[in-house]
Amino acid sequence: MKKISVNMTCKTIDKLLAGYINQSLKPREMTEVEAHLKNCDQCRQNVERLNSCCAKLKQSLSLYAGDVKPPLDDIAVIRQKAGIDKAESNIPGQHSALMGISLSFCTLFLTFFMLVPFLAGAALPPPGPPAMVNDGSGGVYLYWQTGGKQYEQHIDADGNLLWGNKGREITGKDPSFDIKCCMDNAQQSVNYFQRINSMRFWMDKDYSDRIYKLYVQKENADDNHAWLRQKTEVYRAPPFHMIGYSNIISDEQGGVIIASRATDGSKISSTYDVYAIRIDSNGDWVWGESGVLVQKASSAPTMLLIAGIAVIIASLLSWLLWLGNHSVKMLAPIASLALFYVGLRSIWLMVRTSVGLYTDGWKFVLDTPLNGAAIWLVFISGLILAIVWAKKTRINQWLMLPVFLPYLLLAGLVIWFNIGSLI
Amino acid sequence: MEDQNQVVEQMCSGDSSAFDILFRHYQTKVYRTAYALVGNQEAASEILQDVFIAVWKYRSTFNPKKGAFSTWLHRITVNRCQKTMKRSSKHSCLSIEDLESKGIQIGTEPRNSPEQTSVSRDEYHRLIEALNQMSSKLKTVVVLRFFNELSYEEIASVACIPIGTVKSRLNTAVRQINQMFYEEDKR
Repeated sequence: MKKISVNMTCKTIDKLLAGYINQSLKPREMTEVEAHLKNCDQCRQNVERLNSCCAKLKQSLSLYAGDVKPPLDDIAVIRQKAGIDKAESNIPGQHSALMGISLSFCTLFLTFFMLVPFLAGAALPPPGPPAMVNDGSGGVYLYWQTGGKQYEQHIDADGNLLWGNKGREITGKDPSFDIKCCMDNAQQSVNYFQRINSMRFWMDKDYSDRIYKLYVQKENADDNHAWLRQKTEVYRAPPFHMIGYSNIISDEQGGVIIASRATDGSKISSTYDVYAIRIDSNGDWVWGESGVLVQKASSAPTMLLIAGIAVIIASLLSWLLWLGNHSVKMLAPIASLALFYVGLRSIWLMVRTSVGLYTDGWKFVLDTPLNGAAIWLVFISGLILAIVWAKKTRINQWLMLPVFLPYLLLAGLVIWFNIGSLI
Repeated sequence: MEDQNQVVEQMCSGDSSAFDILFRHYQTKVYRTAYALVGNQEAASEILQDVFIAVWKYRSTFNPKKGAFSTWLHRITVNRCQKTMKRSSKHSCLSIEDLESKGIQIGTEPRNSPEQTSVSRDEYHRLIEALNQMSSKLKTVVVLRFFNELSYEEIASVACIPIGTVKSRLNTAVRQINQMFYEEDKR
C-alpha cells in the first residue's frame, strides 16, 4: 500500500524536479519536493542526474561558445555601415528631415497667409454694416446682428444714442425677421456708384495705399458740373475686402446717413468699429468727422493673431527638432502641443463663426485654394510626423492620433470650403 | 569600463567615440551569445554587425530608466538571432574536431562519479545535439540562463516575456535535454 503511494507521488514529483533544481517552484511545492526527497532514493538520484546534466550543459555551452573570438576588423565595417564615418551624428534620417522641412514650410506658409492681412492692417471683416430705417426727423434706426443676437439702436438728428451705448437687444421678434439678411441686402446698396439727395457716392481704389476708399460729393444745385465740396474719403477697405461694407440712406431732410466701418488701415483690433455719419444738405458732417460709434468690432483678429504666433512657434520648434541636434528632442511634445493649440483655437473660431459671432471670419483666412492646400499639407505631414515620432520613440502611434484628429477634421472643413469656393 | 552609464549617455547623445568604447567592451559577449544561438561563426559575425548598427541607429530610443544597457543589448542580440534562426531552419553546431583544432582537449570517457561533472567528448556531442534540436524559444532561454548566466528577471526583460513563462520554458528545456541525454546513455 505504502509502495503504491510513494510511486504515485514520485510520478507527480518527477514533473517538479526540473523546477526544483532551477529554483523556480513555489515555496509550497519546494517544501513538498524536499520532504519527498528525504524519503525517496530514486527521486534523489533523479535530482543528481538533472543537476549533473545541467552542469554538463553549462560546461558544454562554455566549451562550445566560450572561447570564440569576434573578427578584428568589425568596428570599421560597423562604423561605415552605421554611417558614423560618413555623416555628422546629429543630423536625423533623410525622411524625417524632409518631413520636418515640409512641415515647417507649410506652417510658415500658413502663418504668412494668416498674418499678412494683420500686418497690412486688414484684420477680419466684421458683420456687414447695420440695416437702417430713417425716423423721419433726421435721425435713424439701426439693426444689426452680433454674437448670435440681434440689436437695434436709435440715433436722433443731433447724433445722440437713444437706446444705450451698445444698442438694445431685440427679443421676442418674429422668426421671419432676419436681420442678417437685411444687413446683407443693405450692404449691396453702395457699390461703385450711388446718388441720394444730390449726393454722389463711389468707391475708388487707391493704388498707392493699396486700399479702397468710399468717396462722397455734393452736387452744386446751380451747376451740375461744379462740386460743393471736394471729394471726401469716408472709409478705407483693405485690399481683400473690396467694396460693399457701407450702407447709405436719405435722412429725409435733404442729407444722407452713412453706416460704415471706419478704419485707418493700421491697427489690428478695433479697426472695424461701425460708425454712423450724417451729412446734411449743405455737405456738413453733422455728427462730427468720425461720426457716432454704433458697434464695437469683435476681438477675433487678436485671437487669430495669437493662433498665428502659435503656428510660428510650432514651426520654429519643428525646425529645431528636425534640423537641430538631438538635445532638443524634448521639445517634441511642446511643438505638438503648440500645433494642437492652433488646431483647437481654429476649431473654436470656426464654431463661433458658425453661430454668427464672426461672420465670414474663418473663411476669410482659409477660403483660397492656396491656403487650403497649405493646411492640407500641414495636416498630412503632421500626421505622418506623429506616426514617425511614435515609432522612433516606441510610443503607440495610435495614441498620437487624437492629437492630430482636430487637424484632420479641420482639413475636411477647409477642403469643403475650398471646393465650395471653386465651384 | 569607467562609469558605464556616462559612456552610454554619451553614445546616446551621438558621441561615436563612446560607441567605440561600448563596442570594444561588449563585442565578445554579443558575438559569443550569437554564436551559442546560431552555431555559425559567419552568421554570428553578421549578427554582431547588425546588433551594433542597430544600437547606433536606435540609440535615441534607449531609456536607462527601463533597464540596463546590457539588457537592451541582449534584447537586440536575441531578436536578431531569432530572425536568423527562423530563416535557416537547420542549424549547424561545432564538432569535436573543431574543438580540438582550437586546442581544447576533453576526455573520451564519461565519468560516473556524481561530484565529477567534467563533460566527456561523447556527452558534449550529445548535449549540443540536444540543444540544436530544441525550438528557438527554448534554446534562447537555455543560452541566456546557462551561458550568459542571467537571472530570471533579466531573461524576462531580454526576451520580453513574463517571468512565469521564463521559468516554465526553462523547466521544459531542462526536462527535454535530460531525457535526450540519458536516453542516449541507455542505448
